[in-house]
Amino acid sequence: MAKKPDLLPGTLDMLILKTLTRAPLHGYGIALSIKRLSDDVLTVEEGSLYPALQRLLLQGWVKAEWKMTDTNRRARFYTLTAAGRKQLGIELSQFEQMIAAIGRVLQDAQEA
Amino acid sequence: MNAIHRCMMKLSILLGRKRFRSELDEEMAFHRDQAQKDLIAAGMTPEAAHYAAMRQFGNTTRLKEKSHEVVGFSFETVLQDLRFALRQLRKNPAFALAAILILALGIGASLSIFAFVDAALIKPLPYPNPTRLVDVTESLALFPRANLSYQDYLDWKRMNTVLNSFEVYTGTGYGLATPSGTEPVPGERVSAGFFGALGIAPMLGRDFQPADTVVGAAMLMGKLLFGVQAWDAQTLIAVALVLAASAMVASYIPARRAASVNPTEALRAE
Repeated sequence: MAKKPDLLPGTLDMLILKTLTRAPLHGYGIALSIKRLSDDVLTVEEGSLYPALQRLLLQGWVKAEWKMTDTNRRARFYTLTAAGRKQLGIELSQFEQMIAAIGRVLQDAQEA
Repeated sequence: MNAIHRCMMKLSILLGRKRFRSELDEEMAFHRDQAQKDLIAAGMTPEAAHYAAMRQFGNTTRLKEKSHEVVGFSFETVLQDLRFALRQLRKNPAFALAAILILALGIGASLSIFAFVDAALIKPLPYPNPTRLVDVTESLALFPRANLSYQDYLDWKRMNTVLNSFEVYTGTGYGLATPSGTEPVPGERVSAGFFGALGIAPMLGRDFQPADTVVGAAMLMGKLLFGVQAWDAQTLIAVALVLAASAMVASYIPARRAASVNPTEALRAE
């Protein structure tokens, strides 16, 4: 089995926050959503997902509450807070700056 | 959100630690079950799906610990290490005793050697101007530090143009009258300006005067640890605190370094 590429370091929080902008989700839903939206390229390991969610809770960027799923099971759903939305904006703009900067460097390397 | 908010949340999780654990357990069980269901839906047998989900999820204990580390205070791991160390010591009392004895001997030996070296070589003499004190003696080929006669001393003192003051001493012993009879005590006979030349004064009473230059005219008594009783509470507590603090620091730093190693990464590196 070929090893899947790891997530870019530091992008997990941003991906989780972005995933939660559509609707509240439970941990498994977040992992699944990231996997599907990235066409199976990005897999979030559970070992990073749950600590990351605890971190986001501590920062007050997401809220958690226990709700029933469609299949009538209790699950912890995470909701984006206003502070989390603001943080997502900050992280997105930083990420775009970074990607643009990397792009410029690669462009230059190709022309040379 | 600010640091106070984070601290309050950590505190509430600390107080509701049981609930935090059970919620995390339930959340992870849910995650595994969902993954298993999806695998079955994709055509796996229930048993194969169960193991595949477990494998994918990985080491649950490690996973929970990682979540704990996020919400826990850093001193919690120190307390855990401390508890673990105490449990191990209690489990092997013979080993614990041997370790404590060896440590005590080692610390004691190095302390006494250092105390000697410190007093003899490192610390300057305990007088205001230790660098300006010199020792002058009669010297013979057979007897490099020979005794000086009192008459010679008087001549040397009279002809001295180099030293600010020139004093003399000799070892002797006296009988000290105590309530339980006369006790022999070691003593020194010194000239009247002796303490002035060293730059010190007695803690109680008066220093010798020039008129005291008659044998036995006046006496000064020295006492080790002047005014400290054997059960002086302040001294005992201070010493105990200093020892405890240094022991804490000496065990905390290596323990912290060891605790910061992630076992899975350490094993992977091998």
